[in-house]
Amino acid sequence: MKLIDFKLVTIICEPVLISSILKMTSDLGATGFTVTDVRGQGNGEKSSGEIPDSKSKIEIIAEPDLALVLIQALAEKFFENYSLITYVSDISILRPKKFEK
Amino acid sequence: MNALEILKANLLSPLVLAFILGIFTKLVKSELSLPKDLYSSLSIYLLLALGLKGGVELSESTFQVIAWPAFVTLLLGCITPVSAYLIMRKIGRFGEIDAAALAAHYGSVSAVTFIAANQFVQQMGKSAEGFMPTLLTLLESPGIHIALAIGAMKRLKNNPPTPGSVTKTNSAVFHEILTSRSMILLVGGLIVGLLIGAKSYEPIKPFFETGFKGALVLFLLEMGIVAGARLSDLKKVGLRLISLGILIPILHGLLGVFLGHWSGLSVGGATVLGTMAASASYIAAPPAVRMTLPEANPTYYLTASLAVTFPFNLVIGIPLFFKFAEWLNV
Repeated sequence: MKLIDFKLVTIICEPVLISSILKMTSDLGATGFTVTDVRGQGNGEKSSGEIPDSKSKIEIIAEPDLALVLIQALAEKFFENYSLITYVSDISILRPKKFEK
Repeated sequence: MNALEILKANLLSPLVLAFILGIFTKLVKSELSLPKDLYSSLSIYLLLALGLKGGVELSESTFQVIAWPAFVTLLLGCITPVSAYLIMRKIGRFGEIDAAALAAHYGSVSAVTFIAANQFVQQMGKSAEGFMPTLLTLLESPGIHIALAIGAMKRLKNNPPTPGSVTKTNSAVFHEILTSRSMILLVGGLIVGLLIGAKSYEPIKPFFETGFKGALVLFLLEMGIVAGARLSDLKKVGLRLISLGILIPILHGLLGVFLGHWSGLSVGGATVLGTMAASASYIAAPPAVRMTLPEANPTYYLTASLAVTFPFNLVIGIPLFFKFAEWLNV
């Protein structure tokens, strides 16, 4: 079995943004996602919601070109007014076909 | 009872004491907090119980009795967002968008404050009309929409929308509010209660009524913890917002009691309607505002509604509106 290099896009955001972000990433070509409830606080953020440090973590596996498209689109649309961070990490996967649309 | 005795009775009620305990928990930096799932479960239980009971009582009311109170409730729903906006703009000197965001919170209702007012008038021996939850659902939505519409208009005037904007359309917000947890549970509960009537309600009544007050005490404990966590933000928002967070509920509350009394509600009913008008939403409004007016600073509206207006209404507002309703009724 051979491992293929892929990217993991991670987004940590206010829970209120989940549906908008997932709609956008799906429209851009992401095939799936994982969302986890997390807690945390960033630097100078605008926190919202009843529970101040409640956040959501969205993880999306994508091929490198798509990963770049995703974080650029996220930065353009959300960075100005919302508190979220995104980062891309290298991962290895077995079935690249699973992440093709 | 004179005003001081009423205030004291309210202060020593389990609800207010649980809330104070919650704040104390935060002040001493205890790690105590209710599990998130329990908090959601409690709010589902409370809202559904409220809807069901309201629906059953609605099935025994006549249209004539409800018509006027319903009309003044809608009227309040249209007045309060505009008055809150103007006060925040003119006296508070907040920017247009922040003022609109705050107005959306003050135009809408806090269900917990509503329940607390219901419990209070019951304790005073002046129970409110059974159809009050119906009025709550009528007041919930217009306030948010009018305020968000003001904000959207101001924003459109200042800078036309950019193509990449994430701002939700009005219909998306409308959908979000109508399908929010509190609306589904309240309206759904009302309809179910209305359809089943008192006889079929009997078997489920013990579950929804016996535990209600106890669940409310637990919920208020968590509310205290959440409000306590926001106390440090009070310094950031400044004295002006804190004073307006007290002034607006007093104005809206007295207006609500007056209109309620005028529409034929009892002392208890007018008190509860006034409290609804005085309350600021902290569940339905924040996400709607966050999505439609992203430039507005959440620290302002969350701190004002959670750490100023909610405690004010709970401790002082409700007894004050009750006293005013009694005075009108003499």
